[in-house]
Amino acid sequence: MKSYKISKTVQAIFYLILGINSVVLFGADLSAKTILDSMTMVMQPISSQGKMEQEIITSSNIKRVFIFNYYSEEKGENVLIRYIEPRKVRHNAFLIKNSGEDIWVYFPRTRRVRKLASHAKKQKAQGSDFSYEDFSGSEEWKTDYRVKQRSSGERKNYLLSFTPRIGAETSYDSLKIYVNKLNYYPDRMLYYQDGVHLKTLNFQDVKEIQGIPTAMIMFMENHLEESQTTMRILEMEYNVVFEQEFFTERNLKK
Amino acid sequence: MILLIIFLFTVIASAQVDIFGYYESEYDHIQLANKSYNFGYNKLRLDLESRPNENVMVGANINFQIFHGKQEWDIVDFIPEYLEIDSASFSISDSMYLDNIYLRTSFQRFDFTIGKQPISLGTGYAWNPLDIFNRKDLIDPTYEQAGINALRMEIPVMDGGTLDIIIEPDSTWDMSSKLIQLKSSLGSFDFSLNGGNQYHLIPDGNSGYAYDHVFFGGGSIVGELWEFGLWGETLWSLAADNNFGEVVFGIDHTFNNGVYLMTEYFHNSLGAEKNEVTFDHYLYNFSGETHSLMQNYLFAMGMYNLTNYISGSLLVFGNLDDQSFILAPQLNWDAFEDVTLGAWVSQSFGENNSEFGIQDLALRFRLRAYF
Repeated sequence: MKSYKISKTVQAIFYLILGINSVVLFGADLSAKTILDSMTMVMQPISSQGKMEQEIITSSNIKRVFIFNYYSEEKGENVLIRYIEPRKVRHNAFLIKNSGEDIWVYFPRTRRVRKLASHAKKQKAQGSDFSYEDFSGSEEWKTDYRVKQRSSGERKNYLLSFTPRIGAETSYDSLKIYVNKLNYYPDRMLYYQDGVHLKTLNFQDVKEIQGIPTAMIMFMENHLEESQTTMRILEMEYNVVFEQEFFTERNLKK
Repeated sequence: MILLIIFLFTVIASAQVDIFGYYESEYDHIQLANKSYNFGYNKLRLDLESRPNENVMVGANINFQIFHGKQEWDIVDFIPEYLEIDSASFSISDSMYLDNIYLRTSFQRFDFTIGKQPISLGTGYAWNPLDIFNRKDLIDPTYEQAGINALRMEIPVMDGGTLDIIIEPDSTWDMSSKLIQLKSSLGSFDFSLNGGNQYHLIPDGNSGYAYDHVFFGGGSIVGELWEFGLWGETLWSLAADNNFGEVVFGIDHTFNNGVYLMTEYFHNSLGAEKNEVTFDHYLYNFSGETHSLMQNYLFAMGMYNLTNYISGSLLVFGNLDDQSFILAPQLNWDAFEDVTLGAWVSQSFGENNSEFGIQDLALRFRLRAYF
């Protein structure tokens, strides 16, 4: 009988420990997911349109500047990019739908629209350190990766660590995002490929536009190629109501 | 056409006109079996574009082209000796021409384009069976194509779909080319169903050609499967007693390190069969009346960005029927923000009397500066 009681006590303690651990584990995951949800909500408004300048500086110190109009809806799930400068790519346009799963490119000289397979999103956008994938929404952070919260070692930032889910097709084999504790806006993102720290995206000069925190400067460093790409927001407007046909092939050719 | 040009230039003159374009200079060298030639050109393309309002766009471009080096050519240099043709010469001369001049209007329910306009159809890279208006150069498939004088109506239908109607008028309705295309999507695939009518070459039953009215049916598809891009298109004559046509299939993939690989297979039943090539086959192929000399072809390309501004490509294309191929490494450098330089080499393989084997080595340097 005594042994039964002891056994029950051990069992209760075991379940208590298991229960506490479960709460701790569950609480940590929930916290990471909450931070990620908050971050994606803050950095990915429902819709936006703006004008951006992309300055690329290569390792050999060659500078190139691109200017393009940027339109997005459904929290970045659908994106339209139309280049303005330089002349070489003027009116070239990209339509990226379903978070980069479907990409169409438009060449104005031939008025040709070509659908690209989603592997094309791995390619560099106009020679920059951004891939086409980097322009699309952040929903795949939730669908394609497992997220954990780690100690950032920094007072002002959380640290989220991402590893690909089994079977998910991702360009990076891990991501780390430092998230500002005050406004949940990302401070910097670290991209890893084949175990190597490939590039870092820094968010700078965060200002509020229509009440939404916005990094006016995004600075991408490619650590392997020693190149840099700076994306500056020249104009930005949120909560834009687009016409029903805006993110279509028809509008791509306009 | 003259009235259209006067109207379009009036619109351009009275509206704010955007002027842009490029200067292009090309130097070519070609080695044949026992001779070699140098040739090339300087070209200025002047684009004019005006948008009097958000629903109207007027576009035009004038090309000025000055040739240098060899300008008198003889087709005999490019056809096998066994055809026993003495001479079939032609010349190219300096030119100034209005390549495109068109007006595009967007109504609520459709877009309408009238005039000499760029038209590019199909999903293929090196060949486009659906494009009954153009043909491509295998060594440079993405080079701009000449404008087509046409009426085009694009009507949005269903969910993101488009009904595309193109008419290229000729002296009579029967002689005019017509194409109708219904384009839509299914999952991650885009597809089109096409129908057309054209006064076109048909097989004459004796390894030669005749002309007749032909009704075509076909379609295209493009999408992806297991991280591989897939596409295909076909256009086939609908006459039960004289059935001919073309089909192309392609596949591509980009690796994580940025290496891009693609390949395409093309079949053209209107092309000559093995050992049955005649001078007519060459003539219609050179003039663009047929999309290929023979029936079965392969095109493959690998591309890699060597630096942010230098890309290297390796093209291989060949005639599977006469076993002749061309291997063409290409280097393209974005030297300055709006200046590109290209250095291309092509080396042929195959017997001297084969389609590509008749050429030995070719070099091309091209400079293009946009403004």
